Amino acid sequence: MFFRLGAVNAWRNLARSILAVVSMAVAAAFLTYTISLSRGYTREAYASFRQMLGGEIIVYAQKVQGELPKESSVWSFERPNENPFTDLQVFHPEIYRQGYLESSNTTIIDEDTQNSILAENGVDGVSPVYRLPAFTILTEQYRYSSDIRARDLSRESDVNSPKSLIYSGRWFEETDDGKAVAVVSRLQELPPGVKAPEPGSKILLEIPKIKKDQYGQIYVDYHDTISKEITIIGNLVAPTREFAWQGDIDTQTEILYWWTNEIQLPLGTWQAIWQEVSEGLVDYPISQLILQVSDLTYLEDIVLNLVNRYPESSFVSVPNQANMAMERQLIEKFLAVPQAMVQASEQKATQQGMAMDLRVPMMGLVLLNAALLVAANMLIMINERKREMAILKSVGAKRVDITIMALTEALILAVVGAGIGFIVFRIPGALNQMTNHQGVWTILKSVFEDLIQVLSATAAVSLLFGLIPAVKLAGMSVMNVLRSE
Amino acid sequence: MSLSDRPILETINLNKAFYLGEAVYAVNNVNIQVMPGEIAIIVGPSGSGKSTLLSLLGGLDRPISGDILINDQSIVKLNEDQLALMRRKNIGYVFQFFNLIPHLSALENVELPMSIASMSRKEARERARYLLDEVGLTPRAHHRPDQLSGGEQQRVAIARSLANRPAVVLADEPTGNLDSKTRDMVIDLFCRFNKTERQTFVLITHDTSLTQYAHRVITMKDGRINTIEVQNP
Repeated sequence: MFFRLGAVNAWRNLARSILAVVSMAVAAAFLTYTISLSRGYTREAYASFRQMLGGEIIVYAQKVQGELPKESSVWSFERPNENPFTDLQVFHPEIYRQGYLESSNTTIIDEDTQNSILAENGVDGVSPVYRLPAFTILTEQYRYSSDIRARDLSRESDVNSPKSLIYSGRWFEETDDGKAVAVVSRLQELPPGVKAPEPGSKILLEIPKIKKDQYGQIYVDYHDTISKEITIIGNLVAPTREFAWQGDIDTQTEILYWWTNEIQLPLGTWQAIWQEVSEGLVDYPISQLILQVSDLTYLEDIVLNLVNRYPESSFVSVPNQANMAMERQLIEKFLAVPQAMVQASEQKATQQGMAMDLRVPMMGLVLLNAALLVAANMLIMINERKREMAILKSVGAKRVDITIMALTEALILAVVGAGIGFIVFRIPGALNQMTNHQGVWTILKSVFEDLIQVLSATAAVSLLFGLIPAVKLAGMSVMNVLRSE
Repeated sequence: MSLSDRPILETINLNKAFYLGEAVYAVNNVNIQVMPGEIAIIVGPSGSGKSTLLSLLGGLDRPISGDILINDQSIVKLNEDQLALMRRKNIGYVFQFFNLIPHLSALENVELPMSIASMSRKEARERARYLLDEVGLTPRAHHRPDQLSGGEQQRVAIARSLANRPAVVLADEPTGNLDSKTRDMVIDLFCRFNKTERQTFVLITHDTSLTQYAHRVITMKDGRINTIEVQNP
């Protein structure tokens, strides 16, 4: 009954209700816009990560699980075999600890699967990751780990090549393919006093041989190695983000970088090394892919689609992987930032290249504006509903009943407004998803998730701001109201 | 004294004052009793405290001292929500200006107290139809208050006041705004429900000609009880 009275009241003063609905619609539209933006990324987002990794989505053949299972009987606790052919050890070092969960034995991504992934909606390119363990020899006694990674120059473009990250020297040209040349990071984890090799210098690499055991399993024989002399032709530097903190006097900043000992080689050179270390007997096990996606607006939706389609493998967007790496401080070094600030910032990894993300405060302000209008609307409503409240109380309505009636009115205005705002802004987004060949289920799921978020936020705000006027109305004295009428 | 001989409504040294620079007693040391099945009429000039007394009896206002007993239960110390529950169960209220909910139909207005009391929708609708039939408004059941005459609105209000079968119906100048023909019709309704359902009524009026219908006539002046006459109507 009180819900119905609230609904009727919203309808009775249509002009005022329309005003409140429009303001809520604007707020909901902003909210929808913000949520939709957070689903995708701008063209330049996480650029250095994408350039270093060569694309927008990482595919690990193995299923990477980070959560404890609900039913222990379904899962086995095991330590996966060492897999030096992927970036798992870079981004998921925990996988090599005892007790980490692995649900799938898939370790190879075959050509059929690669072609199948390439045919998926939104995927523009598929590149296998070629990676090998290696060591740079400094002295006879000292060597340090520096894995080698192949770059397929034929697949590179501005957005997925580290060319623009070159600090000194140069990036590869097509004529370098097959030559013993390499590009390394200027910032490497090295012994004290040792500098990263500069362009023009030569380094000696020690590369373990790859063999098959009696069961046909590939393993790395660290006792049987080959040596290669490589000429460094370029140093690169990959900035990750700018870290700001409040110093004693003013705000301090430090630009953070990706510190890596990895050695980049042209694919032809890398393949020649593979032939040598595997003695031509072992095919390279492709267990990681990098996917190229040209439209980043719906990157996470593309990932979601792939996760549903290939449940045995792991898919993660480069921005998500980068955020994870930054939050867990896997790849950066803090030189100037006080340790306390670093710890406090663990959950605050921000998007590189975006100095200040104003979407959330803007959304908050617009929602606040709409909420204040709801509150003003409710305060006006109190005057109009006083007599009705007195009648209801005289026939036995309790304060909570009156509050429900008033809040129902506020809630209806908020939900109708939010619904209109959502439809106006999100339907074009859904059409855009369709033209980007997103699956129907993916689109529906993302629209539904956004709708729940928008409705929850607007409903919560309107209830919060409508509560005080509603309680005030419910607390009025019947006789005071009837006497003044 | 048997239970039926106990008053259904009783006030003990009841006082209510308004502070307008100094305390003005609208109800001053009032002691009245209303027995079950009675029609009690409170008469007196304007400003004698009749309406204030009625609002105190209905728990819509609070006294500064004294006690009010409904079915031997004191209501002065109940909180707002307990008072609401008490009204729901024990009190029917009829206002001079009808006070119907304007966007609900006559039928829905009568259903309102029953819905608030969580009666099933079917049961509430049946009783609302019965009461509207009793007050002669079955053909107007789906009309809103602004489509009804003053007399019809007051009959709807009377039907609403009887919805939850309250112990007492309190009526504040129920005929004050009606023409003489409609007034007679409304008084006839009170008498009829009093006889057929033994419903207790407490009416306030300026109109002394109505006292002929009362079992008990209470006269007020300056907030005090002047006389109480018990009679056979």
